[in-house]
Amino acid sequence: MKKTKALTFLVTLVMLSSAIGGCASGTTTTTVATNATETTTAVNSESQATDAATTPEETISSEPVTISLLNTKSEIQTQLEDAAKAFNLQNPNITVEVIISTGTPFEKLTAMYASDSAPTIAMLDGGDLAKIKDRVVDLSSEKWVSDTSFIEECKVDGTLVSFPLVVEGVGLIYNKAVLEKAGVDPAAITTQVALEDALIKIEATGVAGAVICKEDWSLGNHLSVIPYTNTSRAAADVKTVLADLKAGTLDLTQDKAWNGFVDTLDILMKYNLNKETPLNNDYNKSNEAIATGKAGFLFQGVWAWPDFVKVNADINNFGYIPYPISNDAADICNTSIQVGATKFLVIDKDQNSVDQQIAAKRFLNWLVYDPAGQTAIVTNAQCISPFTNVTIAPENPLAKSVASYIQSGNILVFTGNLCPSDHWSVLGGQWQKYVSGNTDRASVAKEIMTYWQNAD
Amino acid sequence: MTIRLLLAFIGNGGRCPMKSKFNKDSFINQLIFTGPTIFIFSSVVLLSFVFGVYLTFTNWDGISASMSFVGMENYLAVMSDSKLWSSLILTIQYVFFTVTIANALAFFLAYALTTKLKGSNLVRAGFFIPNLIGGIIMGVLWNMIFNYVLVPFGMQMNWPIFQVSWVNDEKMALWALITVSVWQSMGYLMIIYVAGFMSVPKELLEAGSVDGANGFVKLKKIIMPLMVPSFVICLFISTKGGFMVYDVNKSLTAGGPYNSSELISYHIYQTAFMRQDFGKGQAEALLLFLIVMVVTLTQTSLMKKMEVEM
Repeated sequence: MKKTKALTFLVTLVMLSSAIGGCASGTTTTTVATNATETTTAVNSESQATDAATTPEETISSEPVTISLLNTKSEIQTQLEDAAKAFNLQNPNITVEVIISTGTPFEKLTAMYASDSAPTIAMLDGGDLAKIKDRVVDLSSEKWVSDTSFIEECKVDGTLVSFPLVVEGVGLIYNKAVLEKAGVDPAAITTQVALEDALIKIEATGVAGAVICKEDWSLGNHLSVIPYTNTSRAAADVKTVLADLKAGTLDLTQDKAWNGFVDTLDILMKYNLNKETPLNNDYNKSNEAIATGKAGFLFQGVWAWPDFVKVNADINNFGYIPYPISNDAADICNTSIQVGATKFLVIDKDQNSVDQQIAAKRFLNWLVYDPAGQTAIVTNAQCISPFTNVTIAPENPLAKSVASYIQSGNILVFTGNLCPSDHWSVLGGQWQKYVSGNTDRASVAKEIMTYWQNAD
Repeated sequence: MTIRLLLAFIGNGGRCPMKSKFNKDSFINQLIFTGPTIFIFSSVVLLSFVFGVYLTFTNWDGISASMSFVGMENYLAVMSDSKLWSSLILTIQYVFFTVTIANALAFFLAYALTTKLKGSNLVRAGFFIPNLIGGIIMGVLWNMIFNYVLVPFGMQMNWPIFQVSWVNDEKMALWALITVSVWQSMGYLMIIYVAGFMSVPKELLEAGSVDGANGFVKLKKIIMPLMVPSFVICLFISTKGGFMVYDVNKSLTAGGPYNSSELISYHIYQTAFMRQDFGKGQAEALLLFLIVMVVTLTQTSLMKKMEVEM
């Protein structure tokens, strides 16, 4: 009897410990193999010197340090993993683990902070910065601050809390081959009338004039904010417009810019591919449609290039035109596209040690100043760098087009960064309803104004 | 003290432990067998529940380092949130249709498959397989079927009902969810009903035949009353599953089109994580818990009274 009791106890103990063992935290999905034996030819005495110059007082221990990077830009996951490996070659005692996250950054971050496994570096959207400001390191004394003009959007209440990773743009993408066949010159489209003209000409060749991507984040955060950007090129003025919406003093139904924007949307809807089933055009389908030449125009961001490349890698075939909201040359929306820093890296100080924070700062410096880091972001991930010292630029036509708009100064405020985190899911739904013809502009205006008045 | 009583209560098969002598040996045995489960249950379920209730009185957004007490503000906001109540009504409709259709189909399938036909085991397995596919994959699969298979099919056959994809249509999105859930749960419920059918003693059925009862009368008077326990289980599982559904909702419609098919779990998730209003989300989750508890307890206690002893 005694033996059976002891055996029972032992078995239970084993079961219990295996159950608890299964609960051990294992949030990392990729580990970068340290390859310290590989001699690094250009351990880059320059980069070392730069590092020493930036943080002379911040010496890191010689113990191996592992930091984690939460990547919320799924299309550049492999490129970031390669960057982590390259960084590790130059800094053998620092390992960077890149964690992929689909869904919004906030969702993943909440779970990670709650389980005490917050990533050292997290990639956030503009609207998330305010919530996280108490948990992150102040980056105002970093060297790269003086090397970029995209710094205001990285601040919360005047404190610099984040690092701008990429600069992106949104506008009307055109398929050059389709336009050439229809005899349309994209550079001449700076008014509503010219746009409609172009659409009619394209339809005459048997191709749909445009395709509208139905995703709520696209319609809500990128498309529907265009009229607000018409105020001026300064972020402060656009913020005033949003503040007016919150206060209830701006009536959209009477606003010329807003009505002009909806008029253009009506025009695009008229020539939309699959206009009987507009909600079938999700992100992948709409990218495929324009890349394969089934439509002439698509309103989308520069991040869509990886999808385009899968079906049509002709790098001279695409570009951006502005989304015109009127026939008035004075409206800046008719000649410019929204451009701005879109992904922000923050360094956590609550659940990561000082050594990890220093290692993270090193990684950020490496991304800016080291040729390997610059290559990772610009050449491999095909993203535009926000830093002026970076001389290389991505080769894809969408990024080149955005760069030319930056060059000429014809840029609008990237207003998606200024909207609350649920702006796209609530209002994007309303615009989906509008695009599928199930609601009218007065109702949408009412929904927008109600949303802003209830936002905190 | 309460844990000891609880253990002793369980150990005594639900009878009052005070009446029998407290046996130290058997108590240790009870502790060994139920202790780990109780420990895991308390730490994972109970503690989270208590913390959740605590959160309902704060205005935490899920990630800030600071939060402050706001008293009953979240509960008041929950009561006045019209979107929550419309989600709840939608969920009740969904539960009603899913439970009735799935159970009816499963029952008749089980009845048809309890004959000793040659292929009946294979057919049973075939109907059970949808249950093995996870909710997310099912939602993605059916999303593609609704969008890219049924729409061209409807265009070809000129059936207007399929010409607009169900998941993109306000009125049909709920039916898309119901269809997928019924398809998934039908097999599982069928298995339980099959087990119920098997447990009906053959002698009673034969006695009924001898007395001149035909198939339908046998079904109504003998099989149904003896299968009430199976009904209790199946109704409980399908009701609870229906109220708590999230994965199919997310992958099939994502609350769309334009937030018109947000069932209540989805709505709670959106409040907590999208609107970053954790306190209010928790309050809504607590409300859902109470509703499901009331519904399922009522259902099980009512049906237990219908159980027939042989």
